[in-house]
Amino acid sequence: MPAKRNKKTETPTAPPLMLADGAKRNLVIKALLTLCIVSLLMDIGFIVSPVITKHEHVKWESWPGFYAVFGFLSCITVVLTARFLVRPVVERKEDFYDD
Amino acid sequence: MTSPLPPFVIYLGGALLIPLLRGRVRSAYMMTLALLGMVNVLGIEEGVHWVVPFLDFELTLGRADGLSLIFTNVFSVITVIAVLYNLHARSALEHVAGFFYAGSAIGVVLAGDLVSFFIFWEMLTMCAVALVLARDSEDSRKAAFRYLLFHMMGGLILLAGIALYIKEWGTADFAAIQTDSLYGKLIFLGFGINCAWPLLHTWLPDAYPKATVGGVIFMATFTTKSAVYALARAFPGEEMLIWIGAVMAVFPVIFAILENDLRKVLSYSLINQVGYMVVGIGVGTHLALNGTQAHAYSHILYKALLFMAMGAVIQQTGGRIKATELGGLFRKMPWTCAFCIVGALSVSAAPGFSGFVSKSMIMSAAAEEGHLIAWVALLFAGACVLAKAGLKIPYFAFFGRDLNLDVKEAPQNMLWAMGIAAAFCIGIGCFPGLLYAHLGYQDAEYHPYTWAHVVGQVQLLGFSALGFFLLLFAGLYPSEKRATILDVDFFYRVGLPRLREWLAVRLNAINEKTYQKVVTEWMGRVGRWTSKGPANLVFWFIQLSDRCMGNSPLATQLKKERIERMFATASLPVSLTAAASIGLLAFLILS
Repeated sequence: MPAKRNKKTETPTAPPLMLADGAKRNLVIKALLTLCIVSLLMDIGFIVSPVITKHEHVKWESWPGFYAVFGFLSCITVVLTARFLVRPVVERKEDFYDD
Repeated sequence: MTSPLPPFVIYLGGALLIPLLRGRVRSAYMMTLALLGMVNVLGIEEGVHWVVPFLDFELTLGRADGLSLIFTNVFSVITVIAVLYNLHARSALEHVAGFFYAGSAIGVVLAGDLVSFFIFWEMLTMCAVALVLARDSEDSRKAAFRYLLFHMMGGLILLAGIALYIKEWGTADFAAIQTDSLYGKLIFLGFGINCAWPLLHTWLPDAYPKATVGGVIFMATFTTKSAVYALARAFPGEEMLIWIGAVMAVFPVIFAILENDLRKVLSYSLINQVGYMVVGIGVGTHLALNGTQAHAYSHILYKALLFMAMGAVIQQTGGRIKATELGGLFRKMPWTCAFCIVGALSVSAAPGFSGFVSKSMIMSAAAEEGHLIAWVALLFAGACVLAKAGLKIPYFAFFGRDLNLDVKEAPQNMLWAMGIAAAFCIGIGCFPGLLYAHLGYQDAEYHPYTWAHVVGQVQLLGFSALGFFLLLFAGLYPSEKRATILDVDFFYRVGLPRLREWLAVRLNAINEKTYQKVVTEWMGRVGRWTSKGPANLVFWFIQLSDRCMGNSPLATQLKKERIERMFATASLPVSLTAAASIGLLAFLILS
């Protein structure tokens, strides 16, 4: 049974996305948030410890949380670009090349 | 120890016996052959081996140095894994093509001259076509034909470049080439087609998803990576490659996000990863070239692992590979799922996995040389890797919507093959020194496990994953839709047939006219002339003699009718026929 994409995660025709409902969803988000916060805290290591130094090639690398912001924005930008700018241009019916 | 046999002899010669064997004997034979090939390749020592005279040249079949040995090493290892994975495939063609593919790819990498290089290079194409054809469906036949045409074009461009090179230098030695000459440009472009450069890349996502589940492992390994080797050999430090590589790393991300077919997603992801290697070649410092080699090594293994996991899914679900048709498989195929996640973490360059220790070498080298735009492009691609493959592949195949498919775990040989590849991914990620010891330029040092690198990468991936799941839960992640996503192959898959139709309409009028004139009119005249010619000729002689002898024109006219009747009914006296024929012949020859 082919599942159709729907704006909501639950549709009558397709089973719901796993990990995307109530408790599990919150767990996923919480786990990821914890990872993110820990990774941000690890940046503090550079400030408090004189031993650990950054050997950066690009000056942005020395900004605390640079990678966090870059990673988050890149992911959001590329997905939304693909969805709203590129998809309408390049999407055709599945059997487009068949005839 | 270097054996007296060049590797391709073992792979190609050994493969010829495969069609004669059946069942377990064949499996045992193929495993032995692959292992023997690997031992033989790993035993090659640095230096020049197997020089064979050929016409006016010397073919160097074994130029073994730091750059080539790491590629032959990974090619021979992946052959063992792929053969193990594919053991159960029934078609002998597939197995033979696989071994030929491996032998040719190793031949390409070891070739020290452009003549043997080109022969092996073209064999790669033929093996790939065989592996697509082995899928045996209408779809794959068409894709194989397109693949063949595309690579024939590339091969001819390369051949033209090589011919001009040999004419210019009088030697076929394969060494660094400058791009400022015509032959340099042609060779550069010829390599670029096999390397799947932007706009020249369409053969890859077109053919790979249509190959057999085992065949695609060979394809994903050999063609693009031998092109990477060729570029690293001929054009290290060519600045254009930095730009080409940066574009290559970024644009496939969008297609991979939109694609529904998960093997097509992996194909785009492959182009994106090869982009890193191309940037590394363009930067051209020892660290960058080391990075290209290291990334080729780890990339081949984790990409093969991901393709193997998806192949197992296809096989166990009876041909399902689209995100819309899959989901919830993690309960049914836990091992495949686990191996797939290892591959996904490796492609994402998570600390502890192989991508982490190789990808960053190239980025560091690009930053050190001040190529800021390329660095940002690679970092962007590195951040998007989760959205395009790192999370997308495992999530939509093994989690996603639980469709409760009735499937079983993949067979033992597939699991072992995936397990070995996964062990390599983790092994390289945890003990990078093992890989670094084999890199070509030992003077360039690199330490992946610095506090800054680990923290930066964890931040990058952690926040990127957060973004992915937030978008997914918000219903904004664009996937799971049955659709064709157009790429630039649209222009030849739709454009060329349209051009043909247009030309047919335009040119048909001319065609019609020409047909009428030439076939109907002129050919008719020629026909009449040749059929009546002898009679006319005879009559002409008779007329002449009659006139000379003073006979009446009426008698001549009567004779004419008689002669024509005789010719029409073929009741001619022999001498007259002979005379007429000779006369006609003489006339035709003289005129």
